[in-house]
Amino acid sequence: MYITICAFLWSIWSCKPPDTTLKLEGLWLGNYQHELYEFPLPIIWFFSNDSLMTEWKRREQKDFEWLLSGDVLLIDTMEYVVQNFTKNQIVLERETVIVFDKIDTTRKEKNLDFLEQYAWRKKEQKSRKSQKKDLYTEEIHRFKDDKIWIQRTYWYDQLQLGQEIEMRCGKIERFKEYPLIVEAGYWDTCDSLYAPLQYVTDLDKHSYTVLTAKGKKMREITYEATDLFEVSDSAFYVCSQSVGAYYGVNISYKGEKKAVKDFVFNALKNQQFGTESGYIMIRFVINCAGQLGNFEIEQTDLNFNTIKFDKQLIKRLFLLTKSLTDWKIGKNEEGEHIDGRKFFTYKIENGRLKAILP
Amino acid sequence: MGILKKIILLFSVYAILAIAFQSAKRGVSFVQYNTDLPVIYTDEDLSKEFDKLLNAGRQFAYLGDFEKGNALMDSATLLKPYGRAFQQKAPINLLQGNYKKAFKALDKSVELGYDYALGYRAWAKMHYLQDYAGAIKDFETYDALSDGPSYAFAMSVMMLKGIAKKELGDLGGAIEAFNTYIKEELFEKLDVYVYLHRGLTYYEMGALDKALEDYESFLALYPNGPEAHYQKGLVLLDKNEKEAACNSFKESLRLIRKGYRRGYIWNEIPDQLYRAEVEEKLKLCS
Repeated sequence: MYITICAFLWSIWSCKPPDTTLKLEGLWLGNYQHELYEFPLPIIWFFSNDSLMTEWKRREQKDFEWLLSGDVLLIDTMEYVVQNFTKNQIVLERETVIVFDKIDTTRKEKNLDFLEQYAWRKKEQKSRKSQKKDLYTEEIHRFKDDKIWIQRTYWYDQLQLGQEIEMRCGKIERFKEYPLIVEAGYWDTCDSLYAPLQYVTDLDKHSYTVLTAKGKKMREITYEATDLFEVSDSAFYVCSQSVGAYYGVNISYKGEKKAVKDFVFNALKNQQFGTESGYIMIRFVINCAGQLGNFEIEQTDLNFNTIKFDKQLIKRLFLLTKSLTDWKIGKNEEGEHIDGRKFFTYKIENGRLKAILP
Repeated sequence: MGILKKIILLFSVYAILAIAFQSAKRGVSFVQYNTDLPVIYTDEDLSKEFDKLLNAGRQFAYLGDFEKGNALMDSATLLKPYGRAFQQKAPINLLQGNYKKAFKALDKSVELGYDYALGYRAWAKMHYLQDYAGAIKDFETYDALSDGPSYAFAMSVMMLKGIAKKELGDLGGAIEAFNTYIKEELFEKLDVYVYLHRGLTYYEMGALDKALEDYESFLALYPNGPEAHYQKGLVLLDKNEKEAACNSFKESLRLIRKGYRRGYIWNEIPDQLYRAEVEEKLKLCS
């Protein structure tokens, strides 16, 4: 009988109806979540005590009245079904699921000007060189002129393969007294509809920490100060949030693949670099202005196991790929230039370039 | 009440309450992404869930998130761990240069006995990796599975074998394969490009007249093939018939401009003709 009652009570408890004694007052950072797709659709809600709230979305602030009644949260005329409500998180549903995490606002940040006075490196990157990966990328960023500038350095062990600067729409803003870093997805409009929002939780001249939605969870990321780097308006940029594959946006090379083969083979002149055989895949983005950036490099043997090719071979192929600039830029259905992702796989036999695939 | 009766009563109460409050059992999440799998009750539900995961995976892979895309497609294959399901993971990875993922999926598909994957793998080895020896091996295994002619990616395996042999320098083997294909294929299904590839093989062997004969056979069946016009021009040039050669080159370029050239945006094909090649040859013509 005892066990039966416990089983009954446990079943009731497992339904988890909303706990109406929990408080909404305070600051909440939101993130849309779909069952399979991840939308970093950033929203901040600030609930006041007096049934008023302020919403920050796409760089605009609006005030609404709100009411929590049973398992329904009413904000202005919008009804959200409360799926789950705990002290630090509320999960709502209205067409899709939105998760809000409560932000601890007790930690006070200091002068936001520090953000522009230094460049910043993600804290984990210090140990990058001790990691197993031979090919890796280091990034540092800085804030200037309402942009986020990223200096990206490509490495193969201790050999620097190349470097690029990328610029993105990005602004340091305040929502009420709360500091935000707002990135934007679309380069021409700097629309922040699908861009990740970062709430600055800590800041001094040595480091800053943000809270942001990443992989459907709120995560804290810390950056450490480093020296500033030079920037230029000729930097690489990605024109939109999502970059499609070359075949979907119709990217091609002027002179076709023959021009690529002639250029690369003529440059290498059948030179031998080591004795390994396998594949070196170099993937990159061609933006709506025909610039190349965001490179990825992989090296495998003929059975696709990771191996180490001669460093100079990797560097030569990387630089040759980077210097392929005669692209016919991708277009969308409206005929507008858009970004696209392309790759070449260099087939190596006994240290010599055999073919450029596919 | 005996212990057994108490246990039965306990489970009965739990079952009734669980159904009443719709506390459906959640499956284990096999991947780090949100793929909680509810209990699948019907085959139709299973197929729908499979398609949803596969398509989502493809979408992510298309947009460059290969880790997430492949994780979702892996989840799909957990629902349907059959050869065909694994094969469906391959194309998006091939198109994007993730050859390790693609061939691993194809290997698994073949291992599970999905014959189509064997032909597809052979075709992929040939066109994506230029692994002609590997392709021939797979073609032969695939061909042996059926009595009649076999096809991979809608192309005759015999013809593909011939092309692969030619690329490996086995010109005699290539000719033999092309001859077999021409002899055994139904006329209405014959791929006219076999004459192009056989002609190129003869050309490499130095048999200019045989090469020319094949290009003429091609053009008799399909006059809009710029490849055959160009190759014919090369033979004519070797035979010092410059004027005729130039006419062939001009016709080839005209047809290229009209879009008649065979080719894919995804990969280079064997004996691919490039516009620049034709334009280069036309410089010899007044």
